[in-house]
Amino acid sequence: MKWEERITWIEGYYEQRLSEEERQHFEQLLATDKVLQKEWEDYCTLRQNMEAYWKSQQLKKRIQQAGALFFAEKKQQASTQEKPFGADAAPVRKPKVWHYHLSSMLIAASVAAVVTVFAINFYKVNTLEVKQQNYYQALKRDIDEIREQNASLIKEREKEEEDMPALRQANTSATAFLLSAEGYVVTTYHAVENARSMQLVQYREQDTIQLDAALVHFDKTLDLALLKIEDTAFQPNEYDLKSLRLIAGTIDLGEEVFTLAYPREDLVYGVGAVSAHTGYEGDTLAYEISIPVNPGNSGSPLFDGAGRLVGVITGKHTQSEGAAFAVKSTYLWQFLQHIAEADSSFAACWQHLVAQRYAPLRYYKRPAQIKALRPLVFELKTYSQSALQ
Amino acid sequence: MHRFGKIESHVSPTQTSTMPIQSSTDEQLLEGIRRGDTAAILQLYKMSYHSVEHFIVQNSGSEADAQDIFQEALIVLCEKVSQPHFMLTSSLSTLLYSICRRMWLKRLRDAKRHLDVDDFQEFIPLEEENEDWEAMEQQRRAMHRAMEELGSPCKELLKAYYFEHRSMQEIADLFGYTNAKNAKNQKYKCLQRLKRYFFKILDVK
Repeated sequence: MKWEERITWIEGYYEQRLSEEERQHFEQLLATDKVLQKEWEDYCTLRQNMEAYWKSQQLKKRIQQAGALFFAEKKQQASTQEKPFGADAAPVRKPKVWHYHLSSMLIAASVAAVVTVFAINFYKVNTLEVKQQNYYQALKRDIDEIREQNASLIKEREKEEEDMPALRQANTSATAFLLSAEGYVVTTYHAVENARSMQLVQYREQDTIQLDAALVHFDKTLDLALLKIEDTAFQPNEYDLKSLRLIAGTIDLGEEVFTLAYPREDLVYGVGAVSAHTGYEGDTLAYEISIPVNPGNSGSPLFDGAGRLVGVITGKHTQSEGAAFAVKSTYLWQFLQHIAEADSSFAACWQHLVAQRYAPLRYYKRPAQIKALRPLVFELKTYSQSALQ
Repeated sequence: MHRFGKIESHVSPTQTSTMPIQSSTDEQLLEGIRRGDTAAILQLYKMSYHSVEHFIVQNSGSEADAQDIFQEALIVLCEKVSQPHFMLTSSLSTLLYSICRRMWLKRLRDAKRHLDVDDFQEFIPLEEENEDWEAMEQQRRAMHRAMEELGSPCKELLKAYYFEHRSMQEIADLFGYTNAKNAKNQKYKCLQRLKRYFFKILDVK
């Protein structure tokens, strides 16, 4: 018997695929053939070790994920929670705080009341406008937290939220785009940094889809994150991924680029040009682009005139000057390549992505390009408190 | 295979083995760990990480050491609790702390550092691993190296078939082989190579 033939038998026996007759035949052979016996033992050792290896690889990945989540959360707590009371005193400090900061809380309450009255008035005038304003405030608030950590008003509000985690719905919103039929999605890291759970939302003419996703990989320096849709409602065949083409090189200064994003609950198209080959403070990882972006643009794909993916908007410094920044697709390419090398389940998706050689949308007019690409763009909602806990 | 020593003097040894101290939350958490849930592992981080970090930092380690040890200990814990005869004889956080403690002591010992450590939490003395475990560990390391040597795409191909249980046709499509038969041949070649590497590494040791 040749090795391949023997191994076919062994494998069939191991996986219990043999018929009763074959099984008896094989067991007979096994009892008499010393070489086959040895081979069988080796095969079992090999299989068991192979399985243990992949299991532990999977486990390691999950542990790293959990660790990343844990430390991100810890960091967030450290930056929002000043230390007048020790962490150990947390359960008993609540009544004291109520008493101590009563005046500032009254101010907070009255401010909230005024804001509410305003908001209601706005709502009567224009619903969409209120939504946009809310997102704007949400982002603005994040920045205030860092700048004015000592402002007791904000501190109070933070503590209040900390004390009532179940009620907390401090969601942020960004944009993400689909990469493959396996459900891999790319966005910026800062959009998911503090997220405990995330949801991809897409508003279509006929309905609205909501899909749960989980963080798979991220790179803090590049500000990129890879998510995977983990939802049985995900129908890969509904998305035409053939129009997506990622370029490994860079594009020229002055070249026209456009983006599709969800700064509010509707897809927004933005157009402009590459205005510099470096980003914020000379950051060589990014382009500067002259597209008017809104908060919530973070993570939206940047396409060139031929509809090829050339970058990912980070939108970090939108407040400074009306210029936006986008990570170059060169680095997205590297980021994904590294993942593909480390993670075999992503490797197939990567192979598929790089196998495409031309720009399928290059002869399309802009509206047709958008029509082809818009199904790939999602609004990403993140929740800092998991719905499960 | 793994038994733990007595926990408290007022608990007799027989009691320790027949009446495991378990709370329902620990039981739920155990299930999660066995499944390898990220949420369950995150829970372990929340329960134990701070005390472990405190212990290591107070005993001539750094925060990076603590993170490192904690990750390794989690792997050991997850494997321990997945064993068929595993029985929880203390709280999970105590067990995890004890594993971390032993690992850190071993590392200090290997670096020939002093071993008068300060403890901040109760722990259970864990038995030194027996020979069985040593052999298993050796095989594990050999497989790890063999897989590294094997490289792409063999590694992925084997994983797709043996771990993800994909059909040969699916694999042919995924990896770009012309048909299932070709993919199958390729799979056997990869397996043969892995076998050669694995036993070579194992025999050298």
